[in-house]
Amino acid sequence: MREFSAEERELFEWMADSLSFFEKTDLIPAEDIDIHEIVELSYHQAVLPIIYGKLMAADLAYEDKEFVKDTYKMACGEFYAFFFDLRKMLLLFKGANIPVVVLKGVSAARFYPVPESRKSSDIDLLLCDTDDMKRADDMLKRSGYRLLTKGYNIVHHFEYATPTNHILELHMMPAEPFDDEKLNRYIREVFRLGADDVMGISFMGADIPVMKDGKESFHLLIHMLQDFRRTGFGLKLLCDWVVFWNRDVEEEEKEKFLKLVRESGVTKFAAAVTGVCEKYLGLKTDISGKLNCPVDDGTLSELMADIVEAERNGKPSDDRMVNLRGTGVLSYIREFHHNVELNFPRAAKTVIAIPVLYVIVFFRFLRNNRTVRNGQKVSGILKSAGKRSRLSKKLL
Amino acid sequence: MRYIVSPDFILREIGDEAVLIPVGDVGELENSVVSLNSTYLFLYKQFIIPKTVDEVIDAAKENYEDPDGVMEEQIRGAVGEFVMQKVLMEA
Repeated sequence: MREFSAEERELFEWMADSLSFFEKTDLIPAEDIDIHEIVELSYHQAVLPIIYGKLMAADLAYEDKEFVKDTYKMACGEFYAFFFDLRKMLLLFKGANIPVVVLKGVSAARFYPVPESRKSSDIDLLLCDTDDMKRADDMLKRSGYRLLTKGYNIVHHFEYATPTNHILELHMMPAEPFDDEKLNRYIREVFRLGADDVMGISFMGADIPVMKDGKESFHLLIHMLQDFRRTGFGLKLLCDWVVFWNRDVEEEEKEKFLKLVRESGVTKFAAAVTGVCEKYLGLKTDISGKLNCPVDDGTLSELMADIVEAERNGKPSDDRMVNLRGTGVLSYIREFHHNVELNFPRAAKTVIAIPVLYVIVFFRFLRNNRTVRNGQKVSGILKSAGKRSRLSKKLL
Repeated sequence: MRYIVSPDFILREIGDEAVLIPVGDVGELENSVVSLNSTYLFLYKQFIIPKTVDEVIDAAKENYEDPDGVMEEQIRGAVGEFVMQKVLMEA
């Protein structure tokens, strides 16, 4: 079982306390705790703003204190900048009669004690009806938005630069496709949203369309699963899970969530994520009992370690690779083929083109490996993939 | 004349900072965040219920010292700014 450092454990405790509306204010760090290390950890995990109060109350060195204050101010400033952009965007979509819902961002932040403390890097909207994509694209371009993505992400989302140079991801699917067509079909069907799936909330004076709790929580889970299947996700996404379930959710929506989890076959993963949040981040919910899928402490510890390592340096470490579905050679081939399909969604349907596409994707992998992973040996990456896949096998 | 805070802004106190977020029709401040120092925050909070400027000056004198005798002039100036920026309105 992975032993977490004293600083990591302190960070978890501070996060648990900060994410609760009943914050204890007398958490005093032990004398042998390296507070600077906690500042670094929380920064790389994008959760520093969440524990801002705790850090400012601690005995920080001057430079650390100024760094914490600047980081917090920047996070709050960015939050409002994104919020103002989102407000304008939603008016455009409303004016064009194109229903959308907000994914993550404000939709997740609204549950936080301090919404501004949830860091975002872009704005995500999901089209309720993918048939609206062409109209939405025309409308955005007329309104000064620049289309950025070609090819790769057209199966999943279009990426635009807003007039204020933020990134808008306009989704046709709530997450990148899995290498599991049955799951992908299920997700496409579930997230074809009708009026019954959407509600308007008032947030800082703006009307924000979001999914009802059942599908909202399922989306959070699918998003974590997608990231877990790639290079992993960090503590920030666990925070979303904690604040979502640490509140009164209507029984009807809980049942909807449970049904979606069971039908999609992700019960074990849902139980593991929930278990990790209960064990380390102060989540108190009856959802674990309702999932009825116990996960042993060792696996929870392994998953938490994977999550902490995923963002240890603010990015996936150099030897992390996607999480394979299985541990044999076929798993590597299946993942490779999945990448070919993601990179060339149309061409991959032509059998004759596949060998050529394999060669292209292989050379891209080598090039990306050199530039992104600092030339980490391919063998090291594959070994890491095997290790993560053993965890994946326990959870999926 | 009594003034009151405008519903077109909401006050957010986060950490050591206090900011006003525009939520209504506020003209050029539409996409801006108005940062309030401790003095401006004190004044803003006075107008959560309708008050005259004189009432606020009296309240300020109870909380702050005024060795240079400039408090009243500064408060009137600040209220004028608030009214011009539509942060305050007539009650």
